[in-house]
Amino acid sequence: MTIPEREARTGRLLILPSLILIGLLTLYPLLYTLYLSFFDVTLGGANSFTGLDNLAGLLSDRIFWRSLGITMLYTAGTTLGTTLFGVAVALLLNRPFPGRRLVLAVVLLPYAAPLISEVYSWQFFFDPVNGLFIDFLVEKTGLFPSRFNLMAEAPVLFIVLFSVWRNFPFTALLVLSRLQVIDRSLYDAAGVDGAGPWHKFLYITVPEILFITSALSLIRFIWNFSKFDEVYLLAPHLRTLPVHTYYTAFTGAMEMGLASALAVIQIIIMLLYISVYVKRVLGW
Amino acid sequence: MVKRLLFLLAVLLLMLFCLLPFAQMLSVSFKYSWEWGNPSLIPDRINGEAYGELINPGRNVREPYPIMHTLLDEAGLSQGQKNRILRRYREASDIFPFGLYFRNSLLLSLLSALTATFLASLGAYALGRMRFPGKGLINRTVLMVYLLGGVLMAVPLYRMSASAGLLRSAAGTCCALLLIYLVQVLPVALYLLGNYFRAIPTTLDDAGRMDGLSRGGILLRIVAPLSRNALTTVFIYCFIIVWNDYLYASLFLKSYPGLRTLSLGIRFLFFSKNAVWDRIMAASVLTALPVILLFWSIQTNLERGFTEGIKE
Repeated sequence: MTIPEREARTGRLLILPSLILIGLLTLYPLLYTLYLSFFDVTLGGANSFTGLDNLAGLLSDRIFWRSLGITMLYTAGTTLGTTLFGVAVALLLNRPFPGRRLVLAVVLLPYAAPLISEVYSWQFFFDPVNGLFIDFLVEKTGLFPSRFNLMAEAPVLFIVLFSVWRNFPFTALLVLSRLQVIDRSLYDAAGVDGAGPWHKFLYITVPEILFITSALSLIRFIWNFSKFDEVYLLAPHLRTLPVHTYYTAFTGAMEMGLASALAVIQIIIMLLYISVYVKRVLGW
Repeated sequence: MVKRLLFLLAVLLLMLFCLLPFAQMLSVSFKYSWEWGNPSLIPDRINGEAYGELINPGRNVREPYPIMHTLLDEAGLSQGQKNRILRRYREASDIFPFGLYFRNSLLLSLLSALTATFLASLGAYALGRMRFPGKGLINRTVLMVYLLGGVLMAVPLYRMSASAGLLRSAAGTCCALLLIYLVQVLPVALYLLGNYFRAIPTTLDDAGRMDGLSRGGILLRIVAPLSRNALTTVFIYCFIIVWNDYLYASLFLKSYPGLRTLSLGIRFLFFSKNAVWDRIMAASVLTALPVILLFWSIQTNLERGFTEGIKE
């Protein structure tokens, strides 16, 4: 055996355990989902082949289309909101000032804390009777004439707001660390050429952070398009596609075949989005 | 000067935006129930009862009042009947077993994060520092798998675990859940460790081989000691991901109350007849606190691990 052959064998051997696990518990389940989507799956375990019935059933189901609409709205809102706000915060904090480390630590709190412990404080915060939010808007400032329940009246807005709050720190942190390594001399050179702050921002800062920002927004789209826990815990009656999939698979008649068809549709939409995005925006 | 003030105002508003829900949580956890409607964040009177109940293990079991023993004695029941009634009283107590849930969360997170870090350090060494055909494909697969997850994987994974018969026993359920958590964090561990390992000069490996070290020896004696921070960071990040999970715990541990994690426990507390805001909030604070401290400790390293990988 030559040395490169031995190297290759050792390399494969080292990665093998991880690959087996990923294959067995991620790639195989994906194929299994595809398989199940063609079957009527009963609780007892007997599957009967129904071809494209699940898919046809979904496409003619009003709840499905409604869920798809809500999911699109939620994903667009959270992706845009998280990215824009994250970049804005990164730009704000991209300068030395006393207490910067402390501010960064505070900014990361929403992202670091467990979801479950944030869910109930948000519910309490927006509670129409006890919450600080309504008290501020109605009693303290009089911006709104009467108390209202944001969670019930605008659930999509509510979960978008929550998701932006929870997830912007990730974007902010990574964009900020990209900002920090921009070569200072670029700005100096532009200054010598007479560029003002706006032009420096537009022609130096923006191109430098464009790639990481686009990549992060793609990741955010993928994660939020399949987001389950945040939506389910904060607005359980709002059916985005992942929540609808959960209800279909794990409550009532537990129609796993139908749920698998739902999952397959979501995966296809994500793959389409990724392939278009990677070509058009990231230019790979 | 005006610019400076505006900047200060923006930073203050940002901190307020991030902190308010946590302030609300902390505040309610210390309030008496008659003060929940009071919009002030600072309680008029501090109530530490909720924390006392959660932390004090002796109070996790509701003891029957002495008068109940007397009444039961007078009712002329047999000893077995009396014990049954007392046991049922104790079990219905509905006190949040914080210690038990904490232990469950801790064990699941520790075991899956440890295993993931170990396996990923082997794999990441190969992906980050060795050359072999098929490496590019493996790298891309790991990245794709990292982005997948959540409820889309839950359907087949649940179905697979059920048909493998794992969900019929508590031990089997634990195994299934541990494996699933392991696979949930393995891709990100591989990705981050790969980035950290790549940053170490490969000439060190060559020097190690001159001295007759095998690949395993190089990993153990050269790369691992140099990556102590990276390994800790990845371990803690995986730990946090598992600790924070709600979905898989809720699916798999439904029928095993003794195995519930903190996430699941707080959810059940919210729906139980004893749902009291101060206890929910106190439990939330105690669940969040360790994770927040851990996250702060790895903040800088984590940032480096992610940004090393996102390159134009």
